[in-house]
Amino acid sequence: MQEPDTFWEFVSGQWAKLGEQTLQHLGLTLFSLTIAVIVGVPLGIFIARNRKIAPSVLNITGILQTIPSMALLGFMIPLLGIGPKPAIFALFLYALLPIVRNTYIGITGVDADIKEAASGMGMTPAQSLFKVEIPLAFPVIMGGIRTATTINVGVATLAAYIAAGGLGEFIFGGISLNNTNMILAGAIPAALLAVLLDFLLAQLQKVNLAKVRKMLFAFPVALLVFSLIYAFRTAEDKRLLAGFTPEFMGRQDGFLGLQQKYGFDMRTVVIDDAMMYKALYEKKLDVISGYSTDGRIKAFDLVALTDDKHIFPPYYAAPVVREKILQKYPEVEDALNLLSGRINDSIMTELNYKADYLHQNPEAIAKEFLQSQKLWKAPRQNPKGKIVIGSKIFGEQYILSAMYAMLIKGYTNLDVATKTGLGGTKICFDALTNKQIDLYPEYTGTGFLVLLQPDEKTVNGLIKDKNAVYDFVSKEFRSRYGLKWLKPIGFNNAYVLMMRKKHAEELRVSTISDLLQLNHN
Amino acid sequence: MIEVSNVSKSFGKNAAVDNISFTVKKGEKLILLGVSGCGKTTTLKMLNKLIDVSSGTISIDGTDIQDQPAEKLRRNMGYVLQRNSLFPHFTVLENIAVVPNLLYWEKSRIDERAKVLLEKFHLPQERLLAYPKELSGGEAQRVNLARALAADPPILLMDEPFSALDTITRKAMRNEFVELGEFKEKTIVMVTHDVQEAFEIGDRICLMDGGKIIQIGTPKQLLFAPINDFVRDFLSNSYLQLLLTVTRCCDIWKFLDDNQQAANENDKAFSAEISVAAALERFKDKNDTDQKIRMRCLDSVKMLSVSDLLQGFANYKAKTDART
Repeated sequence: MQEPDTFWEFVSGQWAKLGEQTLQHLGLTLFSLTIAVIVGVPLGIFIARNRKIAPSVLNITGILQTIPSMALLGFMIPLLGIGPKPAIFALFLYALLPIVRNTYIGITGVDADIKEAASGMGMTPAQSLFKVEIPLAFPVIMGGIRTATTINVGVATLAAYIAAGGLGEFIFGGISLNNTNMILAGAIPAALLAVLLDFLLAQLQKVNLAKVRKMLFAFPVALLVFSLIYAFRTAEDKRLLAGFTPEFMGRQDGFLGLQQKYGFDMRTVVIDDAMMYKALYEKKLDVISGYSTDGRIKAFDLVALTDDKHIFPPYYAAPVVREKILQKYPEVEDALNLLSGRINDSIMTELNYKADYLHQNPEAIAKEFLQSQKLWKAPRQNPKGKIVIGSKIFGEQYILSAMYAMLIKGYTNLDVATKTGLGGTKICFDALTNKQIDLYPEYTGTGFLVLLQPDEKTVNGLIKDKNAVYDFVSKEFRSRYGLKWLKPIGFNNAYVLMMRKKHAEELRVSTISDLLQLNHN
Repeated sequence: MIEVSNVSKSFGKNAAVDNISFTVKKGEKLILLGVSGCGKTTTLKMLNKLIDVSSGTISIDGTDIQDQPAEKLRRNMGYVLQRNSLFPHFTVLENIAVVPNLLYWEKSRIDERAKVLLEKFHLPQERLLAYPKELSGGEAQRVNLARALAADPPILLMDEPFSALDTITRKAMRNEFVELGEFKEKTIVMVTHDVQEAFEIGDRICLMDGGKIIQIGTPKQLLFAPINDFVRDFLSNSYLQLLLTVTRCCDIWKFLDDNQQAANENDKAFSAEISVAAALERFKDKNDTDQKIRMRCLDSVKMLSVSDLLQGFANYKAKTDART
């Protein structure tokens, strides 16, 4: 196993990227905050002066606050596309409630006698507002702005899901790659940013507003200037745009390999898997990273580009089983191998399409398929033992584990329990080695690169050959963990770059090299 | 001069003030007296348009206040609120400077005026830079009064200005305020529920109930010629104290025993224009029968003890009662 880098090694290696992400993060937070202050404070004052409409305004901002961040970002794509615009808008909506509410509370909380004294002494409503009410409500208003800032620094990490950048790129990349240093490289600066901004605003909160009117102007002006610089940096660009997941960005067999082998230099943004296909379909992106058996290829009418320099390793699916179980119940192996060679890429894509896009029940899909292959048998009576099947948390794995359950029940005298939705690779694998489950479907590439993590020489030597990879993982899993890889099912769920089918045809692009050629012209 | 004619104010269906009329002459002190909810505060706030009249007219120096912008009107009327209403984020100086600033006074003039006011209210000059939370209740109320007087407005409206203070501070503040030169020149309309306070400060008292004026007149008129049982009952609780307040030492002068033998030319002589109640206040220890104060009425000077004053008052009362 490779010695993992220390946190500092990672940070010093990624210094430039970290700086840019931090700047983007700060930009997203402050830009959205500035708009929220510009809209929220006057709105709060307005409803403080028109109390009848206050409950409805506060309720609306409250409801906005309860929309899950991911859902809100999803709604934004058709309206505002991807990138900073929808992120800033979503952050603006989140920042609104604390600012409006605290302004309202602050202004209405000013002692009625003080307000009466102000007007009784001959101040106009505007003079009373600016000389008395706002200065007295200022600490409360600032409290709201501080809350909004902290919320925004946190929510801004999600901006990485819609190609708006920020420290979320490291955080979510690190989570997908099981790379703690990468997570920390995003999480620690984000936390420091929240603490720092809160500290600065706390200093401002203590200021006696009546004394330093100049500062009152300096603050929004500084924010505005910063925001404008940020806005210019993210100006519109007509070139082709690629959107990759945080995981893909960090992988040797992903973006890093694309750069090294193909000299990949397209304009690239980081985006969440769930948003990516939609953004491609909506023409907000031109190229995305994906999986070759994804049902959405069919749903969105996409085409996979040929990996002509073979950088994406093979990801052939096969069941991984504990050897102890096979010794105890040898008949299980035969039952599981019944599926071998039955499902190719296009069949798997079709099955995934039914699960992910038509939202059919994975078990119904599994049963229908097995019946069409004449493999389905009714479960036997009076089972004498039990097998536990696990699966990762996506449709393809649900379908495969359902098929295995049916095969075991139909062809052996064993009962089956399923533990589906075991987060990611690491969780599934740990459950297997800790005997929480007896088998789950795994991919050769994942076993090779993520679980075994061999040295670079081994990787380069084997990666292009699907049989070599299968043999390597079979041997290593047996000797290291006492786990057996059964026969591959047939399909290869590998990384691919894909485009809209029509777009690819228009541009006459069918391989990754074609794409880069086009990008250079 | 303030003229209120046929003014009514209703909030929804409730008439807070029901067709009242009165005038306040220049330099006069009018007290609006009554229990909570009688309409006295509403009446006061209609004078500076904090509350608009429902019907009737109010004019000041011959101009209908409806024809003037509220802000302009208010800057020429000092306004003192019930509770401490100093701006907490302003220093004493800034609080005092509020109205002068609204009137665009020059800074040097404002500073000068603030110093004079602090002196008049017996506050040390370094208090100018203090914030309201650093002041005692009495000090805060002095600043509150100083703030109302800052731009030297001809009219002063006061809404229970002393009611937030404890009994002793309140009495002292009241005396101090009545003695103040600025106070004597001002036309004042003051709201209170404290009968004693009304009698001490008011030239005339307007006793209100249920939004109506029950009786308006001098303290003596209210005490000696109440128009109905309501007025009589309202004053009956503190009748003796009020009697001592409306009776001046001059009134009972000829009933007072003169103890010439103890006269000392060097002692300060008090004017007998003060009320008997106020004269009694001058004795530090009212149980000390030997203590005497020197008092002058026109050309005659007398040395008087507490018992001399009470004896004289009793004789005067017996005589006047016999006459009526």
